[in-house]
Formats: sequence, structure tokens, C-alpha cells
Amino acid sequence: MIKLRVSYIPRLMKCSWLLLVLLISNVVQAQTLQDYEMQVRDIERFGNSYFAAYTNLFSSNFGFSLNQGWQGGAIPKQAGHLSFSLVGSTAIIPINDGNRYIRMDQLYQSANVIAASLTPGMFTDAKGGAISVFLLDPATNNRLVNPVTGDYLSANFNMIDGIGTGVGVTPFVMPQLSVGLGKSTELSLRVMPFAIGLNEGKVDVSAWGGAIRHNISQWFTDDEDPNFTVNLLLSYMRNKTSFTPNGERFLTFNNDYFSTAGTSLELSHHTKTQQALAFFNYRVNSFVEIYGHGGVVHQTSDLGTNGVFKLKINDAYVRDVVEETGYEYRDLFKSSINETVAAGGFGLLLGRGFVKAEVQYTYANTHIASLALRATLLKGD
Amino acid sequence: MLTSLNMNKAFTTLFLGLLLFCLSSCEHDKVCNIMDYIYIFPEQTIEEVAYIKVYTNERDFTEGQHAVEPDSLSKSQLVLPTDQTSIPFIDIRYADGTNSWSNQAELGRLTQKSIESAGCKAIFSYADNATLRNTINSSAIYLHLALQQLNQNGGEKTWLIDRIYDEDKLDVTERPEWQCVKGLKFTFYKGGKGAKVKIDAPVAEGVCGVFEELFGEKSEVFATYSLEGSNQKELRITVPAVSDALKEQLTFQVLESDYDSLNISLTNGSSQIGYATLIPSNHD
Repeated sequence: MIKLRVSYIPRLMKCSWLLLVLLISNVVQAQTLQDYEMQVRDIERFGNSYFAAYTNLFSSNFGFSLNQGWQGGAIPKQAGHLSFSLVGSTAIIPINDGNRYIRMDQLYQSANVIAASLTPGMFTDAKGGAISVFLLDPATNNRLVNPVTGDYLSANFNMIDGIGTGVGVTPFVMPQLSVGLGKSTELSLRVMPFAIGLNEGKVDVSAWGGAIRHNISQWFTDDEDPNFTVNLLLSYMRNKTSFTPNGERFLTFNNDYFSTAGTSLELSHHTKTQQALAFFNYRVNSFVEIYGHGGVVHQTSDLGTNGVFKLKINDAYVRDVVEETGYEYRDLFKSSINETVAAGGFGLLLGRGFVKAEVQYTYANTHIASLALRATLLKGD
Repeated sequence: MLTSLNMNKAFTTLFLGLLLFCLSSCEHDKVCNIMDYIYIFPEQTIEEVAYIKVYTNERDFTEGQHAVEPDSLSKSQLVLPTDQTSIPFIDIRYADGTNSWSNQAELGRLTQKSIESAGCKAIFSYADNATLRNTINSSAIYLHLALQQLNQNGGEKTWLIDRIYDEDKLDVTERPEWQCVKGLKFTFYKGGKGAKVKIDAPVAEGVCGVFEELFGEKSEVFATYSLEGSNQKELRITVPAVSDALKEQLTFQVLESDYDSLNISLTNGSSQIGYATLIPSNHD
């Protein structure tokens, strides 16, 4: 998780095309705002559709992967059984011809935006496609030029590069504490609050959640220690990841035309995931357990920006055209995904006594692989 | 013994499962520094058009440089090797001068049937010929304004106001009320809607009237132009943040056009209507 965010967030910093939304918002102040409002809204809509498409593979799978890696296998019968686990999990999303590039014709179409036909998705190893955003005359939709230089009143830049992993991943590692409640019922909790400092800024990651699992097959057999058991697991996870850049490095610049002094923006990503799974466990011997599992999982994912973006016009020519020379903009982008999918997979538990290792594969919207190391701290009553 | 066999089977099954998983999921992304953008048009379209070329970016498109023509083997295909950092422009012209000088917004109007990206190729297929023909309907005046002839790839053309006539067809070129208009020069650059135009101030007569707002201390200014109205006869030159009076003087009705002459109606600062003949600056 951290590794991914660190490499992905600075690339979002290149998202300077967003600035044109603000540029236009500002340039139009002195003219009839209503005349230009549609252009501003169109660029916002285009930006949102692009941002959502770019982050789609990550934001539509991170919550699912965060809520995997719960233990399978037999549940301790004793109350007070206490174990500690270190759980790592990641979605592994194949990148193929269908999701390698974002097609511009599938995004919101805006008359004042022209762009390359294809631009890479988040995990693709390719440079972002070119894009030009123009200020149009409201009456004719003609592009406008600076009368002195002949330059179009536009911003030209590239969209966000792919991070180049070649495979979509959503990795994280999280500690987990599990306690036996008796009657083959176990409660597990995961918490991961921490912050790391980078050259670019500070990344705050917090995730927490829990699961309860119960052996339902015990109610249908008299066998005290059967090799085959069926467990029901209910789990809930949520996370918040935010990136607060150092100083004014995020979506900011200062050139002959514009400055963004006073801008303070934060990128944030929230997910909430609920899951219900049935585990069908088979103990091969005292060292090995295997299982298959299936059920349903629901995720909500919100990706967006918080804070304020400030834009000031430095250029004398543009200042002549507008009344206001400063503009503030809040809630630049927001992308939300709600999804319920079937989940299923299998796992392998190895170990005896104090330490166990567990490998798990789940298909929930995409491939998810989990690895856990578990240590028993207390055996319970 | 039985347990040991079961264990082996279980391990073998799991190993094979994981191997299959990796083979299917861990396909490495293909990096394409250069992609072939393949534009496929209906064959009938290729046969009917007088000119069809694709350019890597707007500058090449405007200047008419580095054009890609239909593939000599497969005439309905245009193959443009490019990268994602370019914005291709398609230039289609029919013999009657109707055209589609396509920026990206215009490309949407060309009703793409499908786009496929596979490996290092992206294939853009276009709609049937009849749909395309109805879509490619930009006025031939665009060609007349900026080019010397139908097959010229790109460039610009400068027009001078030669003579001005009143509603009774009397030559009023030298009358004082038309002096502010008389010496204007217009250089139209190739491009679609919102292409550039340069306006030069009259050299001999000097800047006067409402054009003082346009030029100020300058001798030339840039603007954009387009042909408006359902019949695309209204030539509108757009300059940002100017008065309505100046906008009115920069709006013309095109009465007749050709590569060598342009007849327009226009107004002077006194709201009088005149009819002007423009000729290319290199005209004899």
C-alpha cells in the first residue's frame, strides 16, 4: 500500500491540466460568468471522468483486497485463545488490451478539450497523452487567441503517466489480533495507523476493521475434532489514505502568467468494505489444512481532493480582460465507486503449534493474493 | 501412508493452481514507445474524396507538413506511427470543397464506429460512407480563405480589400467613411473552427475609428475566425474582450468566394453597408 501510494501520488502532482479549470474560471470573471459557466462545468466534467478512469483499477479493487487475508482453517474452541498475525495482501490485476489505455472517446466530451486518442491507465508503462484545453468564445465556440502573440488562450500538457508496474497491484501489510470467544468463535481486529514523511510530503495511512468467524458445522456433528469444518466469516474494513504535500508543491506553479500561492491541497482515498464468506476447511494432517471459500463482498470507494486551490493572474494582458485577479476553488475532484461482487477462492495453512503460515487466493472483482504469518500468544482456557 | 499420499496430491494441486494463476495473471505489460494509429475508412469514402491525409499534430496540420496518406497496399487505411503525446488531425476534402478539418472535437463528429487497441496498434474505424459524407460538411470557403488550391497541404493566405461598393454598386473605396476599413489586410491560416487570422493595420491610411480599439499602438493583431450560420456564410472574426461595435465590424457576410477572389458585405463605423472585393496579396 505505502509503496504504491508513494510512487503514484507524485505522478498525480503532474496533473496540472486541472489548473485550466481554474484558469478559465478566473479569466471569465469580468465577462458574463453565465456565458462561460458551461465551459467551466464541461472541463470539470471531463476532468472528473478522466480522473475516475485513471484511478479506476486501483480504487475499484483496493477495498476488496484490504478485506482479504482473514484466516481460514479450524477455529480455536477455547475462549481466551489469542493470536497475532501479520497479514499482507494485494490485488493482482492483469493489464491487457482492454484496460491498458483510456480511450478519450469514452470520457466526457467537451468542445474546449482536445486530447490524444489514448492515454495510459494507472498501471501502464507509458507517458500520459497530450491534452490541450482552450478558452472559447461563448457566442461561436471559437478558440480565443492572445491578440498580441497569436497564442491560443490554452494550456497544453500531458495527462498523467502510468506508474509502469505492468500489473495492477494494491499492496498492504497489516497487523491483526485474534481472540477466541469460545464455542469455536473468534474475533479478529486489524489496525494500521501511521504516517511517513517523503520528499514530496506526508502520507497518512489509517485502516481498521474486524471480522468474526464461527464454526457452524459444530452444530451438526458430534465429532469433537472433525477434519472437515464449515465456518462463517463476517468482516468489515475501512481505510483512509491521504497525501499532504510539502509546502505548495501539489498542483502549484508560478510562471509569467499565473501563480498559485496559498494553495493547500490534500489527496484522499476512503474505502469501506463489508464481506460475508463461508469457509470449507479440510485438515489434511496436523501440519496442513486446506480450504475453499466463497461469499459476497461490497465496497464503497471515494477518491478526491480536499483543501483549497488558489490562482492569481500575473500577466498584464490577462489582467486587463478580467476584473478579479484571484480565484479560489474547493473540492476539485471526487470519484465514487459502489460495488457488490461475489468472492471465492482457496487457501493453504501450514504449521503446527506456535507458528502458522497461510497462503490465500481470492477472486473478488479481480485476483487477490494474501500471505499471513500467525503466532499463538495464549492458548486460552 | 495414505495421509502422505493425500498431502502430496494436495501440494501438487496447489502448486499447479498457483502456477496457472501466475501465468494467467502476471502477464507483463507491453511497452509501446511508438504506436501505429490505423485509421480505417469505408472504401467508397476513399474513392470519393479528393484529399485525405492525417497529421501528427496541429502545427503539422496547419503548416501541411509530414502528412500521412492512405496506405498504398490498403487504400482505405491511413497508418500514422505516433506516440501518445501527439494529437492527430485528419484532413478530408471533397472535390466540391466541402471538408472536415478535424480537430479532436470534429473527430467525434466523424462518428467513429470503434477503437481497438491491441499491442502497439490502435485501430480507429469510421462509420459508413453516407454518414461520413453528411458529417463532412464544412464550407469550401475555409479552403478559399487559407489555401491557393484544393490540394495544398497547409499554409496561409493574405487578402487585401481591393474595392468597396455601396448598395447601388457605386465604388466608394476612396470615400472618407470607408477609409478605416480600406487598407486592412487579413491573413487566414489553415484550420477548422477557431483557426487563426492576422489582421494588419492600414499602412497608408493609418488606424482610425473603432479599429483603434483593436490595434492600439500595434500594427497587427491576431484573432480567430469561423463561418457561422446554417449556410456557413457569416465570416466572424473573434477577438476576446472587445466592444460590440468592433465585433460588428469584424463580422462579414460572404457573398461569393473562390481561391482568387472574395466578395463580402461589411459595415463601416457609421453602420453603412458596403460590398467589398478582396484579392490575395500576391494577386496580379
